[in-house]
Amino acid sequence: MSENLFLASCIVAFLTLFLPLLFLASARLGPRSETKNKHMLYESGISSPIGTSEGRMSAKFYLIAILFVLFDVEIIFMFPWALNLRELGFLGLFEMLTFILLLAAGLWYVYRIKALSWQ
Amino acid sequence: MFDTAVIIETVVKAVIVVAVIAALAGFATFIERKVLAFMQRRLGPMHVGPYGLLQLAADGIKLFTKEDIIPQNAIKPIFMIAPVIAATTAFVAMAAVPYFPEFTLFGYTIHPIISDINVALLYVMGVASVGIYGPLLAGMSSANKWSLLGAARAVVQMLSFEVVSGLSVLAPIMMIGSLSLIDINDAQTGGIGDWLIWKQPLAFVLFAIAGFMETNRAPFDTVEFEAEIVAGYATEYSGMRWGLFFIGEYANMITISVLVSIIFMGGYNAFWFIPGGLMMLLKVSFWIFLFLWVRAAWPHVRPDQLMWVCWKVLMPLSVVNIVITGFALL
Repeated sequence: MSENLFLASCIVAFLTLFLPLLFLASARLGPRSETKNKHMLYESGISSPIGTSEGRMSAKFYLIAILFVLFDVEIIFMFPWALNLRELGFLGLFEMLTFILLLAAGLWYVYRIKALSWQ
Repeated sequence: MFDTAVIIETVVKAVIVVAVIAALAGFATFIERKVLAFMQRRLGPMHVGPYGLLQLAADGIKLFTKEDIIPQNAIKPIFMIAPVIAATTAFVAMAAVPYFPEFTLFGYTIHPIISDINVALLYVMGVASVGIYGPLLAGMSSANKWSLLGAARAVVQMLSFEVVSGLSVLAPIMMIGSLSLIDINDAQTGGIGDWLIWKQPLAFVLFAIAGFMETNRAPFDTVEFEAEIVAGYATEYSGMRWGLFFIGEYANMITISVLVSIIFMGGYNAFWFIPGGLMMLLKVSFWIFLFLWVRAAWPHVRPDQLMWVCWKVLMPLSVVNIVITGFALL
């Protein structure tokens, strides 16, 4: 079955890679013209852009990305448990509750250090 | 390694799915303009063809023949490949999604799913999340500050959505005990009372909100909000490269609509006298319409409000939902 999925993914990926190539090739059909300002950066009509794109981003963005890694990995751990919930019974449920409590404690800590407030 | 018949069958299915969804994505732009226009008491596109129906073809020709511009400071290979990633992942996610009940054609039983696997839901969510690289690479390679801001917002928004959608979809999985979308569909055969939306209303609402976030639709369109950051990560894109982002977004919309219909709204089971295939079409159309309706009705939220809602409200709610479901099931 997984071989089947691999085959299917490859075929769909190939087809969708083929589509853009076709689309991009069709751009040759239209007229082309070179003007001085065509390849300038877009900045609402200003001919000399202000500032650079290498400006520093707020650390919040990186923080959220790291939090995502932590919490999403925990969610992946929960998928096998959810599938076998009935076989694992109450023991499994309480073990998962402990895990969720640890997760909630982490979330509470993150909340307390104001990692989630964007002011 | 593979049976020739299987390869041929898969290729035919893949061609049909990619062609139909790409065409639908184009058609959805026309529908969007019409629906938004009627909601604002306008007529929308009317001049090209009857009721403006050929507007779609006119826009397509214009996009196809547009000159391909790459701005001067952009990192060229990454700039060129980013929209392809966005479009490809949107389509590859569809390889494990069933669309209709199985039917018989010329003596063959056809399963309208490209590849029937038992971890379909995980696969769809995994591949769809690779789509984050599209906006991220586009924004970082464009050498434009609006693009960079748009990319940063896109990544933060989509990552937060991943957590919420993953947690909210756990509760239905706990009830059904399978990740296969066909199993989830088959668990809801008993008419409208059997739909999971009645047993998991909270998970349904959370998953729907996360769906709006994933597709960058209003009210969560912080990624490409014109009044703030021009067009976000797509500012420097033009012609068909921009069109690929567009197709990817609409393909994602269709995938989310299909997923919500299957997981929470009974999937492609026959309802009363309506056959299952038609039921699926009606549900997906309703969800596409809902996407447009929300865009017409709701103002856009700020990125900080979005983060606030996502991490402080939606995520705790979905965890609570999982705990309640666990106790209720045992």
